[in-house]
Amino acid sequence: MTELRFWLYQARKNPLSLVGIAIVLIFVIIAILAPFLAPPPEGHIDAYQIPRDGYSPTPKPPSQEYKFGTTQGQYDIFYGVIWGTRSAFKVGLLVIGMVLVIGILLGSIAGYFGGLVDEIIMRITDIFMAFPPLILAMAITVALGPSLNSVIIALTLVSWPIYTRLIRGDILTVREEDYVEAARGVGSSHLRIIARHILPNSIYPTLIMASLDIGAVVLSAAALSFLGLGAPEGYADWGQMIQFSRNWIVGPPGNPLAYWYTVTIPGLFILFFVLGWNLLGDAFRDILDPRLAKR
Amino acid sequence: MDELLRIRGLTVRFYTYDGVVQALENVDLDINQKETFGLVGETGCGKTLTALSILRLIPPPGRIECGSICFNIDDENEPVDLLTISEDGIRAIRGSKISMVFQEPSAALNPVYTIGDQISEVILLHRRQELGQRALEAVNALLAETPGFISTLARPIWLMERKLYQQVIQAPSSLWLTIISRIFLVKRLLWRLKDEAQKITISVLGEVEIPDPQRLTRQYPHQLSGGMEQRAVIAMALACSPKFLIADEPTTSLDVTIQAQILELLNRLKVEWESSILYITHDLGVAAEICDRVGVMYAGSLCEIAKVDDLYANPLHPYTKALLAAVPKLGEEPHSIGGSVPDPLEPPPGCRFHPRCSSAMEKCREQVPLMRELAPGHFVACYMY
Amino acid sequence: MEVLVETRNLKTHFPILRGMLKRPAGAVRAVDGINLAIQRGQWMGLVGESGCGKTTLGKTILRLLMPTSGHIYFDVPGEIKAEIDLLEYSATNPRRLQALRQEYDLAMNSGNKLKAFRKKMQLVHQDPYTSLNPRMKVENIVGEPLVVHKLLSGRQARDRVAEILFMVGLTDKHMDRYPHQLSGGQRQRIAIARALATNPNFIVFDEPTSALDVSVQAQILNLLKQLKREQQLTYLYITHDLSVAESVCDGIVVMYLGKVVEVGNPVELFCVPKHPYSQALVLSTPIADPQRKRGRIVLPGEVPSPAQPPSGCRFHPRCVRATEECKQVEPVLESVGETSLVACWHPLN
Ligand SMILES: Nc1ncnc2c1ncn2[C@@H]1O[C@H](COP(=O)(O)OP(=O)(O)OP(=O)(O)O)[C@@H](O)[C@H]1O
Ligand SMILES: Nc1ncnc2c1ncn2[C@@H]1O[C@H](COP(=O)(O)OP(=O)(O)OP(=O)(O)O)[C@@H](O)[C@H]1O
Ligand code: SF4
Ligand SMILES: [Mg+2]
Ligand SMILES: [Mg+2]
Repeated sequence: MTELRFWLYQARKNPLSLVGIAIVLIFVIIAILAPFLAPPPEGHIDAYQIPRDGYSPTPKPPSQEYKFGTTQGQYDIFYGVIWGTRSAFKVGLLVIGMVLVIGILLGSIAGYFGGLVDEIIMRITDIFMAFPPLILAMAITVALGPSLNSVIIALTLVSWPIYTRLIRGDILTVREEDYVEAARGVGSSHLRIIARHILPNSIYPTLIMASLDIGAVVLSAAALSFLGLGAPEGYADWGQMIQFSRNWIVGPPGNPLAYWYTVTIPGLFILFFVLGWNLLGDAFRDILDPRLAKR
Repeated sequence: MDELLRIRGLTVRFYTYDGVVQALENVDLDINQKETFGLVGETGCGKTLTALSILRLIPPPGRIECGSICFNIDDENEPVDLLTISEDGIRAIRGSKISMVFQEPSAALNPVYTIGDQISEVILLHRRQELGQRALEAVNALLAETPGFISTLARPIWLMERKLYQQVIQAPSSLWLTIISRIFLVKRLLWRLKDEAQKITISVLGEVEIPDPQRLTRQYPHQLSGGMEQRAVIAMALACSPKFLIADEPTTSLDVTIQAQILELLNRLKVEWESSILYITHDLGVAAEICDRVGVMYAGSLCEIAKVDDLYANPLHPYTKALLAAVPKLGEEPHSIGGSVPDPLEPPPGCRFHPRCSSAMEKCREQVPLMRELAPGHFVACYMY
Repeated sequence: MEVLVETRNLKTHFPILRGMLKRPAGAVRAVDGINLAIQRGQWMGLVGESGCGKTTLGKTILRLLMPTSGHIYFDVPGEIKAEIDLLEYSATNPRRLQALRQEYDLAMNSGNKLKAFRKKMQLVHQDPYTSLNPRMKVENIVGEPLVVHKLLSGRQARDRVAEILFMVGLTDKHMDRYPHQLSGGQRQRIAIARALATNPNFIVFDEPTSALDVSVQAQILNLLKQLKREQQLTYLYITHDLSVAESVCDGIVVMYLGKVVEVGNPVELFCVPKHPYSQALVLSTPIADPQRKRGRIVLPGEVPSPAQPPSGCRFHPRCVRATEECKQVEPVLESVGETSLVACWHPLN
């Protein structure tokens, strides 16, 4: 009860966090309701494939039929951004989920047992962290062949060292706590100590970072797609839709804003998605920050 | 005996999201000149807050609701109310007239400055005039004594220094001095102030029985043991020869043998420096060793004040009795007090001790007992008397 | 009287690692050759200043720390102990001695054998604010040993937890609380309850009341007294507060810099201390009685670092009775009178 009051109190103190929650919730609803908001046309095989109306390269402005207009190649922008929300969640949650699993596993082992294992794991993370992350991700995607799955794998490979290190550090501080020693004194196994005593007390900073990072991951995925390394052409993906609009950012002379919808609409979706997760992450931090812990 | 400090009706509340914490309620307290007053009580009863109120350092969301704290700065002037004087006024008093020693010595020292720098800084802040005087004397001595060639060369500089130090003595906080002390190179002319402060620092460190104070001034806090650190903190508190020293559990984190050293030291300093000490502790043994008078606090109010011998030989308040019975003694079963300290969010009505008191009466549950003087100097707040 | 716990020349050193390659450069000799015997049913007090190795000794006996050398015998049958003694003395059959030690010496055990021992010996930490997992409910904290040792589960475990909570003076309405919802004294009761869960016969208390108020301390001490009587427990009670040790213990060990300097019963130790350090400790302990301000001996100097203990008697730099002999040769623990053991060349009284 007090817990809830405290959360509400924190949320009230920082109304932006409520905005963050609202934005993310809206995106969740969009993703869930995608088949109803933008029903795939009859006979469409892959719902993620954006339906197109001809092959003309010139975008068409919003109309009755295409609410947000069509982009280069006559892909339906509305359909693209709605189904793109699903892709965004897929990329963000999958990457962060896998990174968390790897990070918790390796970080716990390194932090809890220390010694040689720790040394080896840490040197491996050093190797990964020696490269600029985006370049490394590009190299991996190219090596695996461009596709959404390669993007997910590449981003996972790029991010796990950071998480492993973070978790290891937090575990190192908790490892020496009296209650961990007490658990050992009682005869608990290593697994039990890690799972019941250490992780629940050290995982929160990582979870906060993860929620902040979901937005960033989607942004990186969009960047890779923009470079043509992501989803195949026509796949509902915000990054790709921005890529389609690359030639149409500025319109013909005399009417520079003629094709504004091609870049602005997917851009706004990305912007709000990232913003939503960031605000949500901040909200988590406000709630879980130990310095604000209640007396 | 003259009064040094008189606290009346001090009430402090914290406005938290859980509710209003009634941390201090109507605290009345007198502290005389040249005495050690002990404030004892269990965790959370408000000892530290009483001390912080005197310095007006209550952290938000806490507020001093009402009350007065009259402090006799010196014999000539009228006592001032520390709760109503200006912010500048209280800042000038903090550290120079009243200083405080905290429980954790390491928290009071900045880890990135040497002990010498930290103590000198306090002296530079509060004793500028005196430093100016000493620096002036040094320059005058140079001017008078140094003969011949060197003298003719350095004379203009010394004359300039003399001018500056005279300024320091007359108006230590004048705007023009502030400007000078900011200008590159020119501020070097004031170096003698620092030098003198360093000398005072060394002598103060000697006072607190630190062996080789010269060396200690160049050391960092982490290079010292707990006992040495606490000595350095005491030296810092004493650097401006305050009239009133507040010691908030200064020996709680130290060993008994080191505690004995520090207690001895405080006793000696009190006599030599003619100052008063407010000694906060939860250890009745320590209070018995060094205090002249003792006040017992419970849940934000004082329940008994008496001379130390009176209090231990003849405790009157049921809480004091219970507390003394709980102290472990050789071959005696310690008697515990049933129940626990009340929640400061919802303190019980009437006497705050009544839920745990074996002789509580109807009246105790309804009305707050007032402090009464039962014997000369022995005050109790209890309806039994 | 039967000996329950015995240590033989027990040493626990912490290596000091220096430089990039983490080479050991000396060691902190926290526990440096301790012989200690605790009788079954005894309440043994262990006193000494901060850093003298009390906690390290307690944790080493419980094998929460690995001893550098030495032996720990816990609940070893009398005849086997006698055999070990004999073999150690005569050195005739090293293989048999080794085998016996493998079996009975706690310092050499590990894995499941150690886990079996853990059921019988427990530790209660100093600070009840850090010794309980803040994200576990009281029920799970107290019930953890039952689960770990697969003693009880489900409904039965819950009943047992309620029973133990009742033993330490709490009720089952505390079961669903988190530690931060409890007061310091209540938390320490929870820690004691956890220690009692597996019906141990030996409990090490590491300054269990030093974070608590006097009135709460009295409650806890009375509780310990009652539990000891009811459960036939043996205690090793670590404290830096001599007056606590004297009021409750029936034997006291005084430690200084990793060594035992005096062993005796409380009355004797308090009234006629034999070791100069014990005397200083007794006389520096404040007593809640202003009439009895004793002739305080203020010991000069501080406890030296256990990484470089002084030669000879470790107390000699602070001792008023020190002679040349004290600086050179280390005194050994010898009996003085009927009940005391003292390690000093010039004992008092
Ligand atoms: N920042 C704060 N917010 C809310 N309540 C506070 C705050 N600081 C202090 N209090 C309340 O004021 C009361 C008195 O605190 P204080 O620190 O004076 O106790 P104390 O007697 O010095 O205890 P201790 O012996 O533990 O130092 C406490 O019960 C606490 O609940
Ligand atoms: N894990 C460790 N690594 C290195 N040194 C240690 C470690 N644990 C303890 N020490 C050192 O061993 C010495 C003894 O420590 P120990 O905690 O046993 O003292 P103690 O008598 O329990 O003191 P206290 O009264 O402060 O609890 C200290 O000098 C300490 O610095
Ligand atoms: S052996 Fe010597 S130095 Fe050590 S305590 Fe005894 S008299 Fe003092
Ligand atoms: Mg305090
Ligand atoms: Mg300890």
